[in-house]
Amino acid sequence: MSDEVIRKRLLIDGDGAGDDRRINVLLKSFVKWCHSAAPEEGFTQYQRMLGTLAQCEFSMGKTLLVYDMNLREMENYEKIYTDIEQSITAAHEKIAECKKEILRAKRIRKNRQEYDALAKVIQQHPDRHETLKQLEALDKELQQLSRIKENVEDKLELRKKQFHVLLSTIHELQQTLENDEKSENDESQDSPMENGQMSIVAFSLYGETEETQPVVNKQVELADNVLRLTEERYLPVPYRTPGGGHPPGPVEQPECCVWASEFPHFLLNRVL
Amino acid sequence: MGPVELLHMSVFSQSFSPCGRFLAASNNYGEIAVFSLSSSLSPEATGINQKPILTFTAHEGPIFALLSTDAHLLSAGNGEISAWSWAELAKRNPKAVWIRRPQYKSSLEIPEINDMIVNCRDNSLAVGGGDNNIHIMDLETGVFKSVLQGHTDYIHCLSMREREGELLSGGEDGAVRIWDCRTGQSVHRLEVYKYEECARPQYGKWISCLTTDSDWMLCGGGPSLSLWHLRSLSPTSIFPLSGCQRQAMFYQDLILSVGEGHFLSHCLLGGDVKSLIPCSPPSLNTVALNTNSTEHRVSVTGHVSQGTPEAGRMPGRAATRLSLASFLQVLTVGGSSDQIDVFTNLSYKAFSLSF
Repeated sequence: MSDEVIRKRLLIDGDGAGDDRRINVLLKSFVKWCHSAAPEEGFTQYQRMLGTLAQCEFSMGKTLLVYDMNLREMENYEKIYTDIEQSITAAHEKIAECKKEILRAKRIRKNRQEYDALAKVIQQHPDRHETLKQLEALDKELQQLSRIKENVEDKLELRKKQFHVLLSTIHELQQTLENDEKSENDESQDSPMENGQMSIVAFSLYGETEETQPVVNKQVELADNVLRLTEERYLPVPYRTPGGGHPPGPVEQPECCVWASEFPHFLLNRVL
Repeated sequence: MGPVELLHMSVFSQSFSPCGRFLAASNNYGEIAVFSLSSSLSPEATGINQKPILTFTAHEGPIFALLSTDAHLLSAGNGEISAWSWAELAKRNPKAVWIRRPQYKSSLEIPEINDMIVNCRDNSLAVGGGDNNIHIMDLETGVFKSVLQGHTDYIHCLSMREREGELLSGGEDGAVRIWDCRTGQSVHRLEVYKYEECARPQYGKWISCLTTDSDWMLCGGGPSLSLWHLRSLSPTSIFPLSGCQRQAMFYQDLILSVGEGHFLSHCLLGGDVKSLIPCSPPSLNTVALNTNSTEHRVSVTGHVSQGTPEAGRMPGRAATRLSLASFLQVLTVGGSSDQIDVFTNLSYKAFSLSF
């Protein structure tokens, strides 16, 4: 404890000059003055002592003021120090915030870039609206074409039926004529009148067919060709009639048929 | 390790410890070196801190794959897989916990293991290598559960698609196959070299680097490094990097990739190459990012002052503790040299660790 005091005193005033000396001198002069006899000397000494005392007091006052000032400076520094500390912590927090912000921004940027990359790929595919429109147009066309096809098919159907009727009639006629011929050859010359008409017609027909046979054949061939052509034109694939029948095959050459010879023309006019 | 050996050394793979304080690196001589990151990154680091704390020979042949699980370091070399305990390695005690070998069909030739990956869902290890198959091993029991067959040439790289539980594998035959882990069937097969925007026939069709983050996949090698969208299986961006890439990874909004060429490439997802950071090895094999460490560095600022007994009013100042975030989150690259570059900031190389 005393070491500290000694050390402090040496530090402050080790060389003996200044306040310490003044106090020692004051004490010594006080003791001398107490022991002195002469009153005027005593008075001057007394005055001198008062002066020294005033000096000491002044010095002490100064030291006290300096001490106060130091205290206040310390407080000031303390305040500045705490301020700086606070701003440092605030800056650290801000840095942490900014780092989080930057991470968020990087994530956003990454998402944007992923989006862009995907968009690039998607752009290479054609627009959906365009494709839909094209599809609609194609649909319409398809419907139209199927309607046309239906129409044509109906027409073909009709023609087929007509041909069928024609050819079956021809066939029937042929049969009838054959029968008549046969019956005519078997029977006597005086045939009943019911057959007369028929036979006359048949005879005339038969008579005429001698010359017109090739013509008739040709015309029947023509009818055949027309039927086949109609089939080919309107039916690219084999077609079944609703009745379950099959397209009439090539007609056997009828041996006689001028009446039939009229029909091909009639038919040709109607068909073409 | 003489100077000639050091000259011919190649670092093939690296792995960080689960605590993030150590780095293990393997080379072509079958050695593994363990470096202490905390000491080499501390402000008082000197040259000695950039040397490994432990180097040991783990296998007879080169070690192409290193992997860290929660407590073990797995290394694959010479056709077998060894496990080392990280706690023991930190104490400089290299003793293998277990050594296992998948069943190979031919016993004459031992196929090398090129890549290993852990499937966290069912705690299994997938190992792919020279015998064109992927062997799945259960980590708890050590039994090799199944074999995924399909590749027609050896497998270079494996990657895990966490969300869907699928395994991706890329191989020398140019095909990236996506396997379903539960059924063991190949779900998709992508032949990257058949897409003309990716293909580089002058380099070949092999795929040497593969990485995925469930929606997107990066693959490269012979064909250029390309970013694929996995749901539509279509390539979205091609990266114009010269040289064949050997490893790539996604990091925040960037793609980091290393390969032939002495630089680490930073690329953006759109297909632009943002920057090429030069590194010391002339050609790079492996890049690894330390994401395991969440440790915060504590540094002391402020001063301690004591009040004098007389003036006793001055309070004692407490030391102010500030923390810098995760100073151990570094990126390391290694390649065909004995130096491993450490990046504390992605933009430049900080220093090199050497074997």
